[in-house]
Amino acid sequence: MTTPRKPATDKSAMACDRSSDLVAYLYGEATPAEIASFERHLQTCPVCRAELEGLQTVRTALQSWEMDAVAPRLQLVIRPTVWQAWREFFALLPMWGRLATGAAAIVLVLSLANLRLTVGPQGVSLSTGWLNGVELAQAPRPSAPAPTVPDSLPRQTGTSPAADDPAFQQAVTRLVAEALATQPQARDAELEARINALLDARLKQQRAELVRLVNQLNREQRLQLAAWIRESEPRSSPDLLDLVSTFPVAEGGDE
Amino acid sequence: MVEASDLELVERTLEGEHHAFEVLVRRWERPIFSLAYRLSGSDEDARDVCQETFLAAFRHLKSFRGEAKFSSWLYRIALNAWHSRQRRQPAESLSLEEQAETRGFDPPDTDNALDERLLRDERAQLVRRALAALPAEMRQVIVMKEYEGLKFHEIAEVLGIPVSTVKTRLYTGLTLLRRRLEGLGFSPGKE
Repeated sequence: MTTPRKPATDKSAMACDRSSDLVAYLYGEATPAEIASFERHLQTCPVCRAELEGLQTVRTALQSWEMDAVAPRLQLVIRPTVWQAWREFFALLPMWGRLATGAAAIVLVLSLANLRLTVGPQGVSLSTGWLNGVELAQAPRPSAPAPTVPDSLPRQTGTSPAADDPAFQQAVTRLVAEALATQPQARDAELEARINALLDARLKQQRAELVRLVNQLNREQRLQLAAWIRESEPRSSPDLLDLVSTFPVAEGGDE
Repeated sequence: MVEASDLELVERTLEGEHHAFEVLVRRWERPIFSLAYRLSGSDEDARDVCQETFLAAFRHLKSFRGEAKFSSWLYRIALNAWHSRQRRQPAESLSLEEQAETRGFDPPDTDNALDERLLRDERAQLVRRALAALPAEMRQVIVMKEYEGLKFHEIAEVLGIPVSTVKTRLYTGLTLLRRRLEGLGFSPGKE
C-alpha cells in the first residue's frame, strides 16, 4: 500500500499545508470565518483549487454507488428471565387483571401459611399452622384423673399452665402475631424461645400460688395432691416434682 | 406523540422491557446494515455484522453509560464486529483487494451503452473495488462521512480519535481513492 502522504498532487497539500481546511470546506463543516479565509486562499492558490476540484470529483464518484442492498428486518431472539417475563406479563394486564393477580398471590401466600378461617357460633376466627403447632407442643393434657380437692381451692391448680388462662393465651397470640411479621427461619427459633420464657415465668407464678394453697390443706389432702403430682406431672413439668418434697407431710408419708 | 429517546429506551431495556430494545433495533438496523454493507461490500457479511452488532449491544447494554451517543456506541460495536470478521476471513478480504488492484475497469463503449442503468452499475462496481482496496482506517472514515453522513466530531467519537486525525484520514483516503479511480479508468468526463 502506498503511503498516505503521497497523493497525485503532493506539492499542493504539502506546499499549502491546508488539507484540514480543505476537507472542512469540502464537507461544509467549516465556520463562516474559516470559509472566508479559505476562499481568499483559493483565489491565490491554483494548486488548492485543483485539489478541491479533484476531491469533489471523488465525492461525486462515491455517490454513484447507490444503496443496492435491502436492510434485513432483524429477528433477535432474546429469552427473558422468569422475573422479566412475569413483569412484562403483569405490565400488559388491565387494572382488574392486576388486582385479580394480586389477590391470587395473597391467597397463595396465606394457603402456604396454613391459614384457617373458622366461622362458628363463637364468631369468625383466623389461625395459622404455626399457631396450631405451638399449642400442640406446649400444652399436653394430663392423662391421670384430677384429685378431689375442696371447693375452697381454685380450679386452675390442677390444669396445665396454658389452659383456661386468657392472659397467657393473649400473650401467646401476640407473640405469634409478631412472629408472623418476621422471617420464617428466625421466626420459629425466636418464637419457641419466647414462649418457653413465658411458660417458665408462668410456672414459677403457679408454683408460688400452689405452695400458698398447699399450706391451707390438711394432711390427707396434701398426701392426695402429692400422689397426683407424681403420677401426672412428669410429662409436662418435672420441676413440679421438686415441689412435692417441700410438702411437710409428704416426707415419710404413704408413698 | 413524542418518540422515546435512545437513552430512555436503553434504560427501559435494562429495567426488563425487551420491547424497548426492539424499538432501538428497528431505529438503527438500517444505518448499521448500511455501514456494514459499504465496508464489506457483501450483503451476507453485512447481515451477519448487523446481527452480531445488536446481539453484542444487548449483552453489554449495562456498560453503556450515556456518555457518548447511543448511535456512536452502536457504530463502534459494528466496526469491531466488522474487524473481527475481517480477521476471520483474511484470504477472502485479500482477494477482494487484489481484484481491485489487478482487475481494472473496462470503460464502457458509450456508443453502444444504451442502458444508462448498466453504466451506473459499472461505475458503482468501480467505486466498490476502489474502496475495498483502501486501508481499513481510511475506508471506515470515508464510509461514515460519505454514506452515513456523520459529522467529523461524531466520527471522532466513534473511533475514539481526535477530529484532526479524522480529517487527515479522510483527506488521505480521498486522495488515494482519486488515484485508484483514475488508475482504474474512471475519469471525471464520464460523470
